[in-house]
Amino acid sequence: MSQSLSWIDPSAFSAALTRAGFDATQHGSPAQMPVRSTMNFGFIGSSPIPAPSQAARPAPVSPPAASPQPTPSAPTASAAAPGSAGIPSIGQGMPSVDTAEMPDPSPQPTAPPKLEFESPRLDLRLNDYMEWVETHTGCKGLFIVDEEGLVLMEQDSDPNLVALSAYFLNLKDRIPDSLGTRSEGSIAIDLDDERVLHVVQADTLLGPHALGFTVQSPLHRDTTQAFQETLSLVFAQS
Amino acid sequence: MHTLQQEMDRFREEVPEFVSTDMVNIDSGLSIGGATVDADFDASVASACYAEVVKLNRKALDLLGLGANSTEDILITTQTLNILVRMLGSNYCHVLAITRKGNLGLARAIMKKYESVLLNVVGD
Repeated sequence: MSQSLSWIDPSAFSAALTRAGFDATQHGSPAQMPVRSTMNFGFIGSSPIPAPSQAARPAPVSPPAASPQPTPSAPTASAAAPGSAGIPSIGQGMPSVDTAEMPDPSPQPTAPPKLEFESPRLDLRLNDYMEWVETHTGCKGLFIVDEEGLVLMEQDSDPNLVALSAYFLNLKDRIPDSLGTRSEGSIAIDLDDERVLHVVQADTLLGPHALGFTVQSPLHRDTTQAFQETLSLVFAQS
Repeated sequence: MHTLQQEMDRFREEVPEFVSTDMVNIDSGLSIGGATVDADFDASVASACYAEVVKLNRKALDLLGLGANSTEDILITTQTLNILVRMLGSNYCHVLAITRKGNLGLARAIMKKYESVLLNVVGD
């Protein structure tokens, strides 16, 4: 807390207290005042100052004319004027931030566009699905297995990874027993510096099935969720 | 609604490395419908034998205390073919033969997919 106050100009602080009708001589210098009171001086919080006594309670301090919330906009001319008694207004001294340069805080859309199946045949739908996954991830070694670990379709997949995925899926099935919550997500395992194994499980009309593949870096949850939902759709139309 | 033969033909088109399929009544051992790509391979003549396999398997499971009707499917692997016998309700079984190049996982999934369709057709 004390570090956050170190940049406040004590003289400006005293002037502001005087303007607010607070007699600093009765209560000591601003440096001796409780930190919480100082923090309520329109800088950070807006909650009322806890009054030490009714008589000593200062008049309510109006916030500066500027917006009470710090904004990235540049300080106004009036705030920067010398006639403002040196009280740092909100935003004064802060670097001007161009909002156009700020990164968008919302997550980037990473989910691929929806896949439209053209055929009711399961083998063709699985093929379309695997091409769709490969197109949007550049992944390698795709495979789709059923709940017994039998491969329905694969593309240059490593049989050891296919077998390994069964262990991970069993592990995932134990999550509800341990945590009491159902795990809907996928599994991502760092195999080495260049490969991450993703296993995405989906409950389908024909039972649980899983998609496995390797990529260079872990995928966003939106992407794996789209893969999961679309895998269910592969088996949806009979 | 499609007929049993129409559904069997659709099924035949969908299974890679397909050789033959039949829908067999377990009690009588008779094939009530089927399809094949090899005229020399007529699985319907073996239907009665497959029906016996299913019955004997039921007895074995009953003796083991696993439940006579708990079987989902039976896999028979030969040097040239894989033969899957999948239970359909309590009275029928669906027999599928594919080459060894075929994909067992996909074949099972397609058999599951057609399970409700075939049961609807035979009214079981």
